[in-house]
Amino acid sequence: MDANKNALINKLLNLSPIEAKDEIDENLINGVSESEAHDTLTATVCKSPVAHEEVCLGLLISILVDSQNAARYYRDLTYVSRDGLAFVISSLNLIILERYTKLSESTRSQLLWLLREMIKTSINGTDSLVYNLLRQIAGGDISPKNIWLAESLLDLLIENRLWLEKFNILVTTVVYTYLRLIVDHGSTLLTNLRQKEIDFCVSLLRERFSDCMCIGRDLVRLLQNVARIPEFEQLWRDIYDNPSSLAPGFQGVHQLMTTRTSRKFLQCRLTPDMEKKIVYLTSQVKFGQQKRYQEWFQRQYLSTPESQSLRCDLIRFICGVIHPSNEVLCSDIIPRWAIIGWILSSCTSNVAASNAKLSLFYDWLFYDPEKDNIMNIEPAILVMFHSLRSHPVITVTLLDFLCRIMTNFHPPLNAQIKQGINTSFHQILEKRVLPPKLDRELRLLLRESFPEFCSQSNDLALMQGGDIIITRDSPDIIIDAPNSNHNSEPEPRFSDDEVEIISPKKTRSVKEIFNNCHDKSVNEILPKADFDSLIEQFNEDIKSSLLSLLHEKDNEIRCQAMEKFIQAALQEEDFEQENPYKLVLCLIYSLQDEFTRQVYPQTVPPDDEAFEESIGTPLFVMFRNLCQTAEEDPNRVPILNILAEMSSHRRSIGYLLLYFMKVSKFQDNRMSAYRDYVKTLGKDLMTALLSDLRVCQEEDVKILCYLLPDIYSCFHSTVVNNAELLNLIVSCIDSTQLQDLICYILQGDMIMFKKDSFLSLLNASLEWETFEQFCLWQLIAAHNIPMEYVLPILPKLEFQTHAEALTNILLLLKRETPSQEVMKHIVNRDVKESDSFVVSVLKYWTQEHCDKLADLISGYLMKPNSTGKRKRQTGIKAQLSQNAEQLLMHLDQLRQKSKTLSFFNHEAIQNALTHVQSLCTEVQKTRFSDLFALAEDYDPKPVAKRGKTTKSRGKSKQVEDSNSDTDASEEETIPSKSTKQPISRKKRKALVNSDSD
Amino acid sequence: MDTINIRDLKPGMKNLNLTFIVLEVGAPNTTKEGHEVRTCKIGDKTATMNISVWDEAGTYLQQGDICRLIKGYASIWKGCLTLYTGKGGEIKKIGEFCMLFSEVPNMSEPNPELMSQIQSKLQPNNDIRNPALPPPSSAPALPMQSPTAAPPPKTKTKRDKRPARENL
Repeated sequence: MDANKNALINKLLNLSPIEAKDEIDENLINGVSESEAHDTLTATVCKSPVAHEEVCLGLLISILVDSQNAARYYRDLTYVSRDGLAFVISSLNLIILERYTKLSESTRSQLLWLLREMIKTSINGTDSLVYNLLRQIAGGDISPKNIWLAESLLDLLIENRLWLEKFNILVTTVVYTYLRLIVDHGSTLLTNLRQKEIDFCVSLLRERFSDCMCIGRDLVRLLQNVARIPEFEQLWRDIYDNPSSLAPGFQGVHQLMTTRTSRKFLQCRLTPDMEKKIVYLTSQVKFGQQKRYQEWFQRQYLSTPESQSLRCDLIRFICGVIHPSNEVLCSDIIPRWAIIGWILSSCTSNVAASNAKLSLFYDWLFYDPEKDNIMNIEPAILVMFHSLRSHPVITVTLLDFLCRIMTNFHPPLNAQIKQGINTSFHQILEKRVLPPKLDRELRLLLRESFPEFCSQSNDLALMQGGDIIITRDSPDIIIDAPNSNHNSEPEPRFSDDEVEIISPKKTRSVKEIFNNCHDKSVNEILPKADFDSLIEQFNEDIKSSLLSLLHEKDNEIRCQAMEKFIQAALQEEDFEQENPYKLVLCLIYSLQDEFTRQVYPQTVPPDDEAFEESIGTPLFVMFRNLCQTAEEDPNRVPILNILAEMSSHRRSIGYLLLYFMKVSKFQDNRMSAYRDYVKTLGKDLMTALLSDLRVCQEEDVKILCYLLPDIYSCFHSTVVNNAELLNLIVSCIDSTQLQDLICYILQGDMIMFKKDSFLSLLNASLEWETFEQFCLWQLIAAHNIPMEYVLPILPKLEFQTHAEALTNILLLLKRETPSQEVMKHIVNRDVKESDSFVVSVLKYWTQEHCDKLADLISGYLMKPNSTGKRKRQTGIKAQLSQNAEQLLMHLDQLRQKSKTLSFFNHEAIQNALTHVQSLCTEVQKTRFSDLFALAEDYDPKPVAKRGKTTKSRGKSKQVEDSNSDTDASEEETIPSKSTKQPISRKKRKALVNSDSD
Repeated sequence: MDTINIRDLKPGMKNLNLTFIVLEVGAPNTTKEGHEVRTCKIGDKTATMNISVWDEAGTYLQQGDICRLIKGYASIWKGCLTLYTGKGGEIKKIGEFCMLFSEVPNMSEPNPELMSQIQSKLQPNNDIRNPALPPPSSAPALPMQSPTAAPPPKTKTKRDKRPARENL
């Protein structure tokens, strides 16, 4: 019985031997055994519903496995069935959705045969079977099985056109499916199939256009991809010139483009298996853990050249169908933009890449907040935003594409498209797609990263939609007078608060955004009315100075007012009580413009005068006062109190104080004013520095870079090796700023690392973004960090996942001369086939330091096994140490990578190999047989001599056994050199002519 | 059927049932008897480790396969905790892709603590009442890691079992 079952399973399904037969399969088979037993008794047995199902299933399976008698079984099935085959249809749907890929070829043919019969006998629900089977035709796959399914189904549909046309949804799905598949079937071998598909699609489109219109904008996308085919060219002409000839109410492209495509179309171009995996990836897998899943998916579906076209389907599916719940959005599940970024970066062909980008922005073009969903446009902006730091190229090409598509997509509709993209940006701002804080960060980054996109007013014209034309050939960007656009519609702007704001509506939204994360606006801290009443409480001096600070335009006068204010405040008797709070509120109100202006000089490069000027405003008068007050002066405390109080409303106080001290050169006594300020805040120094520098980084990276050398010298013991600070730095700098830092380092003005805890810093850096890690390694390279600080991290690094660190260590090693210490760490790395790290180092050294390396290796191999425990296993002679075996494995890998390497002919290596071979067990000998063969192949005469030398060495080794390891190997190398002298000269000439001694 | 998580595996455990996802499939090594042996990295929600897969099953395993192991056992091989299919046991693929796993800890990384435990057990004159006599800490793992060293009795019997399974 069991054997019978297995035979059936094999006939029905194509399982590999390790695949478990799951429940569905088992049920199928149980059904069949039942039916065979009761073949003639069907009618009587089907009295109970369970028996009915079993018999139906049995007959169904019989049809699928037995093509000869299928007709008879089908006839029986129609007689026996009491539910119009509803149960059979649902079983078949299950088989098609869950099991199709595992069905054997004959079963698949039978399935198609059965569908034809069911259509012929007009069984209800057959359309759902065809629909599900259409989904099993994979996009971007021209394997014979997939082509077979596409063609068989197409033939079935052509034969049953009248039946098909009864089902509107099926008609549109068929059109959508085959329009998409035509693109995959461009090869000459598939010309026939392709022509059939073209004819069928065109004829359905023309005859059923009013149905097809419902597909919406993605119909246009698919039609564009086939537009060069003459039949479709004609169709396009009709769509442009005579739309109503296709369908009475049809008005043209615009109508299609403004119709959002239903999710079911976007879904139908993914096979159920692809869908299951993408859904799993976006709903279960944590961000950071997706790598393997992506690799698996890529290997299965995205690895062939023809699979390029599948990327569009995936992106459309992710944008349009995968709409994670708020719970998922707030969790650490991988966000959609990250998956899209991966898909985009896996595009290798230009056509596919530009189609993929179009798919990503497709819902932007005619975005209508009423009809469209913000979730459809969200991934694109997030990919751009999040790639900005780590993969700026992606962001640039996407922005470039967006600007280009605006004018090129369909020129007659340019105005609408511009409008659509503008609306998209509007929605993104309004719905807070980008976190407000990040929004500001994005702006700064954009401004720094793409200065060419920004107009001179420092204002991002880029985001003003439509004003930029980029031509592929010229790097220059022409910006059309942007203001001409602003009169009609408020443009979405990523504008800064210091930039004048055009429409009142906009003012509000920008303010709203900023209130969230940044300092509260002056009006919120202290409304004007409150200021007017508060200020009356102070004495005349304070009041007048505050008012002149607020109203005066002249900087000189304001600074004097500030001076007056401080003196007055210090003299105030009850200053210590509740006044400072109110006083500070009023002061912030009066100084409001101080906190929004650009402090760092705009001239490039800034000269001393510019720096001096930058600290010439009232706020800095206060800092100057603090610094000039001697440490023991009681007046210092109230000023510190005022600053501390101000810092709770204005986060920039801390770094501005540091900036002031650097520019005014008050920092000579180790920035004591700042240290006191931190003490007043009640914070510890590192926390305060980090939070101040973080604010500084957000507001002006230039100031951060300017401050760094002094931070590292004045607070050396606190900040050196601090991973968090370093990450803060490398996360925001660009290449010029990195260059500046490296210049500081080379000039000896800045030391960022020390030996202690250097490893833990390296460890922490492994989690950083690629660019951040590269910056770190550049900074490391700029210091003279000895190799031995770095090497201990080697065993931890994985070749695949820690490419940044390994690459840089590789480059550092390239400059090193091999030494025992270095060798020890390198050899300790595990030998893996996919890991070329050790091989690369060794091979490079064989070219550069041949003799030295050979001596080291031989020393390593000949080193006596010094583990005392070994002696426990008496009766076993000297053995290969584990390290030596590891090295042999590396050498073997080196041998495989470079078969003709003359390095193995080196005297020292030959000796060592012969020596080691004698220590090996049989298993090891077999394992390294190829490697040892290199020693055996060697000229027989020297072998004899070598035998002698080995022996004598063996003796010397025994003598040295008691010595420490290093001694042994060092002493060893010397005699070996001297003994080989006479032989080697001859040999080198004969065998290795690359050496020059 | 009781299943166990990778994280809870200890050398010497038998009759193990567990479900895992295949993360890496190693290149085959051929034994003297002509068996193909592959070391595969597997994971579940608790940890990762290596499994040694013999012959046919190994040729069909793919990264991303979700499998069920029945009647497996855990043992030390070259100093690393490794999972094997035991006598009468099998590996069956039950799905693909849709399973979470944790990359850390890797239970097959050499574990000095474990090794020293085993060593102390193996000391012939080991006195249980005197646990404060650890093996020399300089290289506790060495005797186990050399394949030529006479393997500790426990591992030895285990290893002998594998060909026996083939003879069934």
